[in-house]
Amino acid sequence: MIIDSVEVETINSFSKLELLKEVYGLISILPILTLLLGITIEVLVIVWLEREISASIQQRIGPEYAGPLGLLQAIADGTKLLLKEDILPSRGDISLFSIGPSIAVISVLLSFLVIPLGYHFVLADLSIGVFLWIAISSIAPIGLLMAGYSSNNKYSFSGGLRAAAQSISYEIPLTFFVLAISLLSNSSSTVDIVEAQSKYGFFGWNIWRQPIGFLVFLISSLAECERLPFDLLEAEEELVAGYQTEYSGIKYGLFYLVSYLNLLVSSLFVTVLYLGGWNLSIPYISFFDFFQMNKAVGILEMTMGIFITLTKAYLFLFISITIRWTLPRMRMDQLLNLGWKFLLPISLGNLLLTTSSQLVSL
Amino acid sequence: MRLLAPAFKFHFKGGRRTMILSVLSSPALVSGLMVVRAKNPVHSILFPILVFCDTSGLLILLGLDFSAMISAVVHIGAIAISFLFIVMMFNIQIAEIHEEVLRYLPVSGIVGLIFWWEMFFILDNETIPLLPTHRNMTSLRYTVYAGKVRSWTNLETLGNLLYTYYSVWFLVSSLILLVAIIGAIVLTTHRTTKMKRQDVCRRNALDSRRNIMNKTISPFGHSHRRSFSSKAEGGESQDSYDPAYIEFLRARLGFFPGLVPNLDKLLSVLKPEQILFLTLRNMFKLPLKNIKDMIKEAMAKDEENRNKPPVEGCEDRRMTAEESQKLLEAFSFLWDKKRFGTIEWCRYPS
Repeated sequence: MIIDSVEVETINSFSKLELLKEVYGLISILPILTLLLGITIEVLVIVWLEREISASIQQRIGPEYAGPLGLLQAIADGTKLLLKEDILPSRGDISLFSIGPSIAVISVLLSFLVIPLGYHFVLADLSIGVFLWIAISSIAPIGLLMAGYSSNNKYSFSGGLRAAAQSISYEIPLTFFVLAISLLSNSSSTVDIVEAQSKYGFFGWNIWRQPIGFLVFLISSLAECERLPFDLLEAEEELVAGYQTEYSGIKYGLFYLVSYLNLLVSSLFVTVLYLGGWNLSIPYISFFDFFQMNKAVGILEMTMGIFITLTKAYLFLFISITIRWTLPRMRMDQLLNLGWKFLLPISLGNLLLTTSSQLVSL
Repeated sequence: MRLLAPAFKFHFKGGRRTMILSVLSSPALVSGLMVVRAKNPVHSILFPILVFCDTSGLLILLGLDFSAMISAVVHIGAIAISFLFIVMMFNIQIAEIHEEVLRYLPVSGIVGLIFWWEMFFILDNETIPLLPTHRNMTSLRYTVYAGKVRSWTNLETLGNLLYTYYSVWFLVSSLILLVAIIGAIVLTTHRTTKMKRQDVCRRNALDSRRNIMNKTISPFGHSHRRSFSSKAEGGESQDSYDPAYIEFLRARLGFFPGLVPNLDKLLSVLKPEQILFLTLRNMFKLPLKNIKDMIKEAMAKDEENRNKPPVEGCEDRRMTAEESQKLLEAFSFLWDKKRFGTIEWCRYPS
């Protein structure tokens, strides 16, 4: 069921820009800028949300001084970090030190290319959409290794090695579960995956077809983001701040940003892969049959799509923030055991089940 | 349906594609050179990462999107990271490569010339107009087929071939990977590395009654139990519940009020060594030379154990004479008046 018609295509700005691109060339940067703006605002919201939720869990008041209800807290933090002195280690490798956080940020930001917020509302509708995310998130551990190594500090180095080890160990179950989803949807394009979940509304979500996958994807993406309970890299008691120890100012701010951006990407991917994307998931009811307007349907549909995707993403965000402030931290060997010895066989078994069910049903 | 969409829609004119090709290939070439010329080994692993990125970009330019992503995952996410893990733990001597570089010239020159000669099999007059070579005009030209075939995605094409016609080769490569995994596991479980292992002899020598259930004895005494495993519970004694040791404790710890009559009950919850430690904590109440005697007597018991033959199958963990002397030295601050006011005294936990 494609909620699509020719009117939508011409109204929808992304496809029209294909024609404009030939004329003006540089105008294709506009959707990217819009997305960047959206991402920045979302990161501010997530930071505020984390502070508020953690405050409620710990039964205290959250931020209240920066702006009304503390909404500008993230901006205050960012400004503070911008104005701090940028300390470089004297004997460390300065070029690697500077490049490290940038590589992590770049690899996470590039993953926003393939997240669909609506039918044509995706920056790059690649036929290998989710695989792009997997490939680019493999680059992030390099940045962490570089950051840890160049700090000329044994504890940072150890933290960087652990961070890279954790990242690469949890990439593999992540990849296998994404592969299982692609099998179910017959395509790796994120738009196709969402479309394949739209048939039966709420009951067509991939979470019912791959329940183990949902849980393991949650765990693996929390591990990829280096959030609790996989927080050992920033464990203040053990490693000071792990690979981030020697960083100050905006470079530390970049690592802080990477954590929240990664969380955002993971939560958006959870909605796309498992929770049905931008579809309003009331089964068998098309929302737009109630409305007779044809021209304005495009804009309304876009807005609804964004709103629904964000709502589902915030559900996952709430879950992960709550997990952060309730569960204790795992030790490094427990973490790696979980990734390699538990989640990897489960992912292979899940793949086996999925492929056999595809064989039987086809 | 967007299932059968092509990978990328190229709106490029010819010039833009060439520009992207140059922008991607020149850093690749320079980084390739810097791999060899970098002084720091870590840098010479990070430069190939640039090469891999550029290679992925070039593959995307050719329209092979899936291969580009796979190349990124495998080369950057697995190979480069593995190399980085190893190289970062080296003790880096930043090599001075300016001297003795001519030593490598004969062999490396021959290898370089061979590679240069092989390049002419690939390049031709079309790509670089000044070259003297021409390609074979009658045979098939080099065509970017991925751009012409628009019905299947890259992934489907690969899958269609890999699992049907080349399935045996696919299985063989998986066997090679299996051998690599087994090799890695075999190589790293060598016995002489310091790994935490269970000592089987010690584990077998433990008795659960004595070490675990000892602590949960009932407060009413042991009249209801029919079998005991240690003397403190009323049964036969074992190693450190040697009656001579316990007699020694009774004799020496008499000045602690209430200790000796209740020594049995104490022994049911504590080991004798722990009792000794606790009594020694209050050492300002204890005349100093008594402690030395106590320890020497305990060591004398060890002496007579030393003369017995070792139990077969277990490691010999008894102290040699030098070790017991050193132990005595280490504890000598307890009675040595010279060291009383020094810092070693402060280290004693009190």
